[in-house]
Amino acid sequence: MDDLKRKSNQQNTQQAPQRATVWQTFSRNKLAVIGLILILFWVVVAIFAPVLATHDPNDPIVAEKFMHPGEGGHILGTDNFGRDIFSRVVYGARISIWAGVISVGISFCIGVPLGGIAGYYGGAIGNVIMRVMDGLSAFPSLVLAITLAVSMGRGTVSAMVAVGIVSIPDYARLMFAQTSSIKAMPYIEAGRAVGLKTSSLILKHIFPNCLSQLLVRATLGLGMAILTVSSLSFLGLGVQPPTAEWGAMISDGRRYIVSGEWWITTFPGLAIMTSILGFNLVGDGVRDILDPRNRTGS
Amino acid sequence: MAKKLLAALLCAVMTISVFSGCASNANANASSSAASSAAEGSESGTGEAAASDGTITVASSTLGSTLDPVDCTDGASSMFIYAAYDRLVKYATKEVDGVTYADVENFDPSIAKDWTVSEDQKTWTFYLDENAKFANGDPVTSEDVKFSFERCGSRPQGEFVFSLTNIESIDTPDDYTVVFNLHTHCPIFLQLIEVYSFAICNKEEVEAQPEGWLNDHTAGSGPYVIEKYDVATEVSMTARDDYWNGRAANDRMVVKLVKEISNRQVLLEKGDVDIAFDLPEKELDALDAEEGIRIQTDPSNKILYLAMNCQMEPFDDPLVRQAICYAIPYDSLIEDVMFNRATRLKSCIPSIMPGHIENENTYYEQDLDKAKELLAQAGYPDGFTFDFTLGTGFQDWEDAAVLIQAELAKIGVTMNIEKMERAQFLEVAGQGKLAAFINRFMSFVNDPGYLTGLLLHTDGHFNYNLFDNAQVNELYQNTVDTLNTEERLEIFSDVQEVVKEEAPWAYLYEYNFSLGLRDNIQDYVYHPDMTLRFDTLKKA
Repeated sequence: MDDLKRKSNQQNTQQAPQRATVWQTFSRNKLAVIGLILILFWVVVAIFAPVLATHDPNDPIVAEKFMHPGEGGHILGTDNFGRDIFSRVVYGARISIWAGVISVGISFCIGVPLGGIAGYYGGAIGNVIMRVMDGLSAFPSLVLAITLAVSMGRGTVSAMVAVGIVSIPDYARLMFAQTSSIKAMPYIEAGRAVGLKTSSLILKHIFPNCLSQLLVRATLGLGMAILTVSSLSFLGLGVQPPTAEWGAMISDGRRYIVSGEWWITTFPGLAIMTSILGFNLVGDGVRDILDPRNRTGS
Repeated sequence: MAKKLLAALLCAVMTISVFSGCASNANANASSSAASSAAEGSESGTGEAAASDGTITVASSTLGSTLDPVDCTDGASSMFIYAAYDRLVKYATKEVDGVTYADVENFDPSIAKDWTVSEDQKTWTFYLDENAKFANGDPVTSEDVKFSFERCGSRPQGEFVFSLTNIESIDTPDDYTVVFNLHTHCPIFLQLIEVYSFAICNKEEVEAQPEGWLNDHTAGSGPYVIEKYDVATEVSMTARDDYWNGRAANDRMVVKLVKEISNRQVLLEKGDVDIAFDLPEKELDALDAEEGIRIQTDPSNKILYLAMNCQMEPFDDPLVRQAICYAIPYDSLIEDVMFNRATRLKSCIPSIMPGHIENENTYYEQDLDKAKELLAQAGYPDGFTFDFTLGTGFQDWEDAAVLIQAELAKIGVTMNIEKMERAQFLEVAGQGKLAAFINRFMSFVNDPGYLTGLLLHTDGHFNYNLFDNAQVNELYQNTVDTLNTEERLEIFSDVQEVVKEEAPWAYLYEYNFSLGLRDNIQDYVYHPDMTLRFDTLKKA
């Protein structure tokens, strides 16, 4: 008991210097900083979309169709209906980032408890849960997402839910592995010995210790979720026309690649690329910070 | 650092996969590379001889679903059925400005060398050609004809077409005579029996085979024999040397599945295919100007309309429907969606159909003020909101819907677009549950009675928006009862005016049928059912 207390005291006293080192470790990683800048950029764009957009993203002005970037006050040109690509990309950021957050939220909130329960109790319950998860992950994720999105009816919400469900096994499995190893730790045993409730053991002692790994997964997952939602919209399963969404914009514009209207697809493509790149770089950077081998050095 | 590089690399790969995902799909890639390698092979192998080896390659966006004439419901499938089977009669041809067209009002003999019709038009007698032979050598007899027609009448898909013919019984007085007894006269009898559903099958062969055999085999007497039938890659066919009605002009046809529209264009430009269907409208003018390629564009009777459910609020009020009709950006649809490769639909009966008229009493022009006024009259001064169902599969539908949505917003009407998978769309639409939708209709019998009976009559098979108008029903009945062709067509003028006033649909446009051909492809005959016939095609 004394040991435990001393340990937590030590942690408390160490926290101030450690917080500084987290940022230091992170900022030393140039790529991660670039990633963070990209994420912040898109978040700001999404929040201030109505201010930044120069035109109504959904209003077709057919007289101005197929304008080159820069022509007629359209920074990134116009599409086949004369809609402003810049404004559509800006508004598309809202949908993509929302979609990423919501779908990761869904898979996190369902996958983590399932993995936790399976890991802590093990046995029959754990087996049933984890085999169902194995079953889910046996399907290629995009195919499963397509199936779910179609069966729930087309739309932004069903696309988000579909992407969320598809990644549940990732979180469940990570949580399962962490819980299984942590529950064997002496401090958990000690907690059980002093009669702590199971719920408080899981919530207060196991979950916080898994959180770092889960956050890395979630950051990387955001990028994947944005990509998958865009893919679904590209296939016509996500947002409904005329909503501006990057994947849907690429899908609409691809008919005009051969005839030379490259800007209709290129800019939403770049938007997808940079946002995913941002999340992946940050995810990777955070993983480096949390890597014990890196931490011991600082 | 290596790890970070790897991460960056992975991102790059992901990005590339996003881009390559848009460029094409795996299927199209596979078939396009197959097409190009095949073309390369023949070019390098035999040089110029390759061009005259008698193989015509066609790029199509779909290869259909069945070879069974009575189960077929799509144009791609029917293309192969027309090649492998004969019907009793076939369309005559006519020449207009040096281009040959099918003449849908006159008929040439095919399996029937001659025919007569009784005074009351209820008894049709056909005399079969004794030379007609199936691909396996059996002669075509009256029993085969009777079998094929009855088979058509007994199957879910064929039954409907069969019912249009009004056939009550079929007699076979001898091996080469068939008599059809109709319960009521049918003004479009010959047009109907020209359709693929009434392809003549070899009774003996079909009965010897298990059920379903005809889905991927043929038992016909047509100019071509299907050699390979794989709807996921290609369908190929060879000309019958012993074809009884004059050998086909070309030796071999290969129809390849090329799903992606830009791939079809590129394959045609490179000469890897000789004919390409469904090319991008926007590119047609540029393609036509290219050396070695010509685009033939012909009017069709395939129409696109926005249907409003006449039994559902607010569209149960004709004033609301008229208001919508006044709000459609008609010219913009032609120009910005179809790139001028379509024609405005100016009556419920398309312009190439007999009986078509167009004047201010048959169509609407866009007039937003008038639309607002009508809405106010109907009790919707501030507009309303409705759900619009968009069947997937056709980009122009989506484009049209987006433009219409923007115009309707100007009169205060909010149109929520909801996409629906095509199969589901057809099912739900068939139950009359959709408030508003865009749909197309192609009359494979080019006759206004056919279209009116199916789309605008209360009991019409495709009256998905539940239009119910006593006057139209009565006029239609009059056309059915009239034996005289001219008088009959006259009645359709009234139909067109009443339908404009009642406005069950907003007329969007008539499609043109555009086909891309290499210059050395000759004797293409356009049929208004938009289905390619292979028998006359040849390669110079």
